[in-house]
Amino acid sequence: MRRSIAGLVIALVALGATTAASAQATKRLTVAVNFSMTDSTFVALQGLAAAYNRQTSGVSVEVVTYPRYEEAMKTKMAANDLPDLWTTHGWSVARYSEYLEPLNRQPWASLVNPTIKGVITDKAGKFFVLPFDMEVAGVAFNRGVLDQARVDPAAIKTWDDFKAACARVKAIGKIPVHIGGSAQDDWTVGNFYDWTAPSFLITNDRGNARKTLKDGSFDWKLWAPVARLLVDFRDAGYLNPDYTQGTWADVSKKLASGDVAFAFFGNYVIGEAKKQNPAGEYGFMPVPAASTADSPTVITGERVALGVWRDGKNKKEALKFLAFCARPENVSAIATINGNPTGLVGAGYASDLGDLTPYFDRLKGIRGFPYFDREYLPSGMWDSLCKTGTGLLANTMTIDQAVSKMKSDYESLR
Amino acid sequence: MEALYKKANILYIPALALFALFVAYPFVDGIRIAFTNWNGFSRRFSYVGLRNFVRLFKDENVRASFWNTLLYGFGSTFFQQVLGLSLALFLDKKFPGRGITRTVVYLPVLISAVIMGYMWYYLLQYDGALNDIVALAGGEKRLWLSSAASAKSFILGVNTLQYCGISMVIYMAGLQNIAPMYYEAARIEGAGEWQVFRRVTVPLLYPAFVTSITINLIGGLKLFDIIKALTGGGPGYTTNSLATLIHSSYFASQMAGFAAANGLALFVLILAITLSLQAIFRKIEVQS
Repeated sequence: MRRSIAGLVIALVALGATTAASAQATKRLTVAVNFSMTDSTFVALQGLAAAYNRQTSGVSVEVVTYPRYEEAMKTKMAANDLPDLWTTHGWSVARYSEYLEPLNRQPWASLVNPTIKGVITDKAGKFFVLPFDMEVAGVAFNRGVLDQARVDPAAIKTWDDFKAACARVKAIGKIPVHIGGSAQDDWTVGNFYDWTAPSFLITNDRGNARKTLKDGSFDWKLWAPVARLLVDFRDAGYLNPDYTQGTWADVSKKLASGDVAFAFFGNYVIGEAKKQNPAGEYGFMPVPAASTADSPTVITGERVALGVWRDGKNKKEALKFLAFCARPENVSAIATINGNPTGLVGAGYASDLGDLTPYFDRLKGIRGFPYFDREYLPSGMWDSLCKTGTGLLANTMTIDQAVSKMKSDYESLR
Repeated sequence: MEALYKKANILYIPALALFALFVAYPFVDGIRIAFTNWNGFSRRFSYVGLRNFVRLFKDENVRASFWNTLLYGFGSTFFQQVLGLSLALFLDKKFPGRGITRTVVYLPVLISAVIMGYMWYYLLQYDGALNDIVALAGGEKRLWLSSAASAKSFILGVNTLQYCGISMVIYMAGLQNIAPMYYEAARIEGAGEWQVFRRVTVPLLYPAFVTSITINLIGGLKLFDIIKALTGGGPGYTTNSLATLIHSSYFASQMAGFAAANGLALFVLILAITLSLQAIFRKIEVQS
């Protein structure tokens, strides 16, 4: 009996020692991403990690997501206790650069798509992320609804044209624009501003506020027309009837079901709509201009971009994993899932844009501008866009109050 | 050894250590942060003197959130006392099913406020159950959370419904401590039901009133979860309490210094109200 117990103890100790040794040998890399676990991008990144784990010994990469990702990341930054790698959702420079490793010397650095390079590079010329893809977005639409309403999206050049198209859609009993709009999903309203503000303040080469927004001398009275466009849409009945309680999930659902014509989101909204109704015909068009003196444009920016923690214990291994991610087949796969062009260019880097190919082809000669808030507003003002937007929609705020709030937040956060 | 215990009871040490680590240190550090322009995550910040405190008095949203905080605090407390006391009086009487009724009334207290908030959030959606009932009755669907007044009423209502069970339990305990002889004496003297309630029940429930009002008031003044789940502080900034404003100032607006100043203001507000209330209660107790 004693012998058996002694044997058991020895076996357990040996097992423990083996496990400890193997745990010591295997370095765990954590990759935090801002996509939910059901999102196709999350699943694809998990697939990349699994493939890397299979071919690499001594390293185990795990992809995780945090509820309230941005808040979690801010807390982790404050504690200087970050994951080894994380996605930066458009904020690699303005928010995360202090904690990210500069990647200019990585073997793939010279392959970064020139269209996005400026957006992800700081004033000193450093960039901090591997961009899998780059967002090239306009106004997404359901082709079937537009055909039914006899609207040609290619003919929409200005907001007046867009309003006329909305009137036609409304006339056939469909919802012209689904904005989302609930206070819980107020980012949907912030997104509307990101799409529409550039046309009033940035895109017109003959007169714009690019310089004044950056140097702090911006006259905030110029924000009123941006805010008014949202109110005009609401007052004309062009928004979803539950515009103060509509959610992001509703947007793709209604776009897929053919109840809605337009949505002011990137092509990911089309991806979501396709999941629900693969037979639907979807497309996107450039964002209209504020007047005939300007021309339509598209929004460009980071979509899936991964950076490495500067002070991480596993930095060396994290950079190796990033190099694996940067391979043509991996970058192309992620970009294809999102219906976006690849973030790196060169031999083998190409995404299959599927049904959206003709719409991308039509973009030749169309100018692209970065996300408005990321480029022209101080970090922290996204919430001001969202909150003033829902306030205007619900009529709990006047345009003047919204302008005043934007101005005061801009001045505090600069 | 005994003398040593008298000087410092070592059994206090774990509690004191935890208090120092999780309450005292964050509190003191919060005061320091209130004097900075820290964004909540960067290693770079500078001290800005009283700027955050000055902003507290100038910012329209702080003003609105301050009034909302008082509304949620005093409003919920008032309705919770009315409902809790009524239920306690009703459930103090013996009738079949009393136990189950007590449990049902108390059950929402056991549910997390976030879950309660989200349950109501879905009920109040445009395509939610409440509008289905309205439509069934021939009415028109409404956006229940789209106006400030309506959204605040729902926050107040949900908070009251969830926590009136606490008041009920406190009042029931109070009622059970009143000796039947007081009621018998009052009735012999010819007092009616209302007089018995006013002259016997209410004065003898005084300790229960103090406990219930204090607990509910503190809970209402720092109301957070239900607002976050139900309205997120919106539409716009209209339904924020000081607690939700602190959260959004810190995380969303990245003004940690301002959020810390706001937190201090909330602390002072709750402290002032609670101390004033205690003083009032003491005065009433002395008079009675």
